[in-house]
Amino acid sequence: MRTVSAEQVLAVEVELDRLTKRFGTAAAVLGLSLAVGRGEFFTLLGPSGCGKTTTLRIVAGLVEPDEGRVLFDGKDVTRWPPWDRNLGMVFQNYALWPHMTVFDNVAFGLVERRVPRDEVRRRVAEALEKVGLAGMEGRFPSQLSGGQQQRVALARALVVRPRLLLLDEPFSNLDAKLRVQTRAELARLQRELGTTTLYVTHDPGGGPGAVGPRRSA
Amino acid sequence: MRWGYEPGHLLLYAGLLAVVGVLVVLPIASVLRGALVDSRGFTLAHVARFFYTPLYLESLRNSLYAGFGATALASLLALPPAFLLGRYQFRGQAVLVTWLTVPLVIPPFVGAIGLNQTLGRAGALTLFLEDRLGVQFVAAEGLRGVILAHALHYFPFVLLTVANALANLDPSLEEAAKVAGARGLRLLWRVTLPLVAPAYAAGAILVFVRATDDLGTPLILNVKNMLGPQAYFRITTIAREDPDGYAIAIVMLALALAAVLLATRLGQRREVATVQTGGWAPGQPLRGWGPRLLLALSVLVGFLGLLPHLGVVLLSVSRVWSLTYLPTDYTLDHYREILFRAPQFVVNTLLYSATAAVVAVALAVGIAYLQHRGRVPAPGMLDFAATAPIAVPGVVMGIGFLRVFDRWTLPWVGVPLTALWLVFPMLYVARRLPYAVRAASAAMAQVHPTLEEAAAVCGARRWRTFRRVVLPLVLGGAVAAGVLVFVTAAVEFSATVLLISRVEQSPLSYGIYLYAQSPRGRGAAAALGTVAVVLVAAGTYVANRVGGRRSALAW
Repeated sequence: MRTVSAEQVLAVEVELDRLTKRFGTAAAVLGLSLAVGRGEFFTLLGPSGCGKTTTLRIVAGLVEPDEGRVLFDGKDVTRWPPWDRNLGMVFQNYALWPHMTVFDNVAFGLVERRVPRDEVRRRVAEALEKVGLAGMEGRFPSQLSGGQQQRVALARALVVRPRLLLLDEPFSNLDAKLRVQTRAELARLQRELGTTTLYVTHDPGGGPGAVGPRRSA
Repeated sequence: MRWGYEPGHLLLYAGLLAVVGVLVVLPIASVLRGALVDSRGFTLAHVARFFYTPLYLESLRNSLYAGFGATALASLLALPPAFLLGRYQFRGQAVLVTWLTVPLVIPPFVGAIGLNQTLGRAGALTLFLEDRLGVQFVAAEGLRGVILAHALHYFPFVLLTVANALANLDPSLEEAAKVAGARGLRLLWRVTLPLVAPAYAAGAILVFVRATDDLGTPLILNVKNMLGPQAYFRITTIAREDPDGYAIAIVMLALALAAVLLATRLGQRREVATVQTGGWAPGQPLRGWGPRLLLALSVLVGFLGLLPHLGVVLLSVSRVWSLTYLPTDYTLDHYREILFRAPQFVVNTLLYSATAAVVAVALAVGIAYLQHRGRVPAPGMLDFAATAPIAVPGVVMGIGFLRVFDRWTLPWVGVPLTALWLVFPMLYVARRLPYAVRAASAAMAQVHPTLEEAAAVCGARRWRTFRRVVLPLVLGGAVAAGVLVFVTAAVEFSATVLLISRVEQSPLSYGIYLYAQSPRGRGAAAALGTVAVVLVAAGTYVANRVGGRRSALAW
């Protein structure tokens, strides 16, 4: 029996310790340290090109930092590959797989985790319900609007019950009105699930409970 | 996506390098060695002897003549319909396009058989011209026949490239010239033609290379004094280690390489010239005598393009066709011969081509993946080696294969590799790999890296990501490429003929040549040729359906 509180236990405390990443001679991230508490919604706000996305990709394990450490609940995961980190991530371009239906997109991570088929079906339906896309299982990404695609990406990130949710400018491809609405929905979902969330944006409208990063150079 | 060299990638890389090394690099290196190295080391004596031997010089002259002649004639046939299709819009345009591209489905050496029946010494049209107009002119004979066969096969390729370039030309470029006072032929000469010239050159260079290098068409038309036939005769009848054969091969290689480099340079210039296409010129309606003349010429070209097909198909069902316009007696015996009495040609071809297609696609997907995502040192090296055969004439590749694999004896069989059927699929993989790699690479370039990153974050390891995300996304393009590998392998002749050791192992293309040697076998040769045409047409259709508008017809 899983309950909401059981899921909350999975949420993780994240600490970044003096992270540095250089591309060529330019430093994308220089000596960044910050701590995100369990269940916290943490916003990284700044102009484009200031290293927010690189930071997020380091946390995801998609980029290796030149220096510094990434700690989940105090454990050093800097060298862990992304597939071992148990994360959910929404990419700026959503990165939905065009050859898979909405169902298969959302179910992907569960299949990788060898979850039994019945449970996959139930949890995908649940996740789609949560983002308001129930009944869209059979559609392909190309048959969805931008807002719907964004929500599929969110469902895909949440369905695996990640210990950490990473959001990379998830609203930048939506129009202004939709952006406000989706942001509010996301805030509600995050409070409901209690997943630790790291949110990257250049939009000062910010996420719910926006917090500026502590940067030490 | 992550740091350092990746052990799995390194393993794949090493495996692919080994395969490409054996299939591509060794044979080419072996030809170079045969021509440039003797018992005392490096030497230019063999190559020098090429340029002192009148027979070889004549062959070089004839090959160049055939190349330039085919290019000129193909251009003459292609340019009027290219302007018509690129500039005007009219009813029946799609039909005309299809009709004008039909010649691409008949390989030149098969077309030569049909041309012999229609424009040869006793061909239907030759007889007609002589009877009715008193003109004695044999169009499809000797070198002229080689030129005609290639021009009639390749002109649609020139046509398509030029028509596309014309249709995609930024209209403002011509409008600017009109405002500046240029019109009519001056506009055409000073602005339009220079703008489409690079596209035209790319098509023309391909025609030149193919006609210069060819072996099958000259053999069918009994032309011996060209580079291809000379190299073939030296190696197969004088001696396998005959240095003259290798010297001829290296001259052919140099010619082809120069042409490919030229085409690449022109291609780069074209990209610069059309980097910002402002718009698409809407087709104009057919009005006035100019466009009507173009239409009439295009229809005439369309009929000429069908002559090889007509000749082959009619010959394949004729019992008696001698000194008459049309056969006087019909039969299906030739099909009985090739489908029931001697079915091995068709069966072998299907087996070899299918094997080659599967292997080439598997290699190409691996190479393209490493090229785009590989965490390996110098990923470009593999890509370079795999695309090298693009500049290697079939005869040269065949000679290289013969030289390398005749010495490779398989321990548990006890015969050289060249005695096994396996050598044919290997040869076809080597020859077509560049095109398969290009197609796979193009498909791979369409896969956005975040699609794989998303899979990794979702918990998929590298292999699972490849299987569930990358492979399904590149499969469409790869399968289309595979079908085209199949089709082109099925009609490969130049290299195949060098590796034939037993008739039972020979594929369809060699069967055609074999049957065509005797007057009584020509019907069966035509029947096999018809099978080849049907295979190519069906394959091209499938590839178009699977891959969506591929223009790789002229592989």
